[in-house]
Amino acid sequence: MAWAETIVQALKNWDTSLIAYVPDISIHQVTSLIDADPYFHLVSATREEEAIGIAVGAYAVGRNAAVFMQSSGFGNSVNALASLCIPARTPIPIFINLRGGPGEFNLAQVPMGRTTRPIMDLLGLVHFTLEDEHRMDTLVNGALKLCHANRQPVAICVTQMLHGGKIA
Amino acid sequence: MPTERIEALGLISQRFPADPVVFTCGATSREIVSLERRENHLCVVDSMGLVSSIVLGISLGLEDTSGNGDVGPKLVVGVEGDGGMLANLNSLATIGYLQPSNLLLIVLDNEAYASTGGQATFTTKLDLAAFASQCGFRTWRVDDLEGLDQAISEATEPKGVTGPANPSEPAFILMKIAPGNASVPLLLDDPVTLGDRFTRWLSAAMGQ
Repeated sequence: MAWAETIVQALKNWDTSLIAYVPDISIHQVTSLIDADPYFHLVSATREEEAIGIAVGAYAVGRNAAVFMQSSGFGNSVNALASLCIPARTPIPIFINLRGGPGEFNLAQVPMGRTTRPIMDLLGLVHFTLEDEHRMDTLVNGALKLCHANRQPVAICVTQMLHGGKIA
Repeated sequence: MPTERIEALGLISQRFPADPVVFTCGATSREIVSLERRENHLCVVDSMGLVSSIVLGISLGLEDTSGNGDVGPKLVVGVEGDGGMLANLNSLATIGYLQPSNLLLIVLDNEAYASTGGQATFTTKLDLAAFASQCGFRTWRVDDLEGLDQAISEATEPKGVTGPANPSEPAFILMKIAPGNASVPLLLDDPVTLGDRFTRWLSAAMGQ
């Protein structure tokens, strides 16, 4: 769970208190901590593009926001990122449980999981992938710093190698 | 004679001079900008369907920062079309579940995808106000400027003996309007410029 606590602390370090998400069993390790912490306002969305819209609205009020989702949901949110977040330069950190890698059990998760990062590259969306906790604190805090310095969304992908990929 | 969209937009702009108002993409944004440019207006130049999600984010942000007492806007208004609302009905569920008290959605329903050639939408048969009502919004159905003016007054009336039964619920006004678009120029502004002007105004309005 140290990885989840590292993410929570980094969000606090960067004054990011509004969190919009679509539930995911691995991301739940982070969102359950967020839910229990009065510092945060956690909002559940029904689809990922909604979560992006909510985060952009919060940023317009001067409130830093982050989004949590699964790689399948990244597919749902591509146009919200491409047509809203990126052209409007809203610095939203997006934490994604990247499916389809080592340990994947569901073949239907593989195509979107495997194409998530190539799509980010095509969008020019900066992304980092966490495979283990080595120097993770530096990477996550650095990614959030870059997100604001660059005034663009940044994706931080977490993998089964990091979180163990427990299923419900 | 049904109301033209641009007439409804003029009234909305006039009724909300000091609250954040977010306008949907396409002809709606083009028409409001052709009428007037105001700092409290945010035009979303694409992302069809996301106006209601963006205003929810603004609403939550305003609620969370309301520690400033009486400073800052008490309401956020989203102006969506029928096509855009149908593209993100999920958002009615999310807003209805969260029940923000400071959110008003106005859907200008011309029963058509007016920005893409006027193809019919489902609202020729379906009632978006019924969806909103099921999700926990207070709803109004209007079809002229007088009705819109009255509905805005009722929806935004402060809590009190003469106010609506549940003034803390989010509000939804469905207005049937004429099909077709006004002949106005394209809106080609950089979304960064549009967004930054709105955010600067909002920060100042909130005393930050």
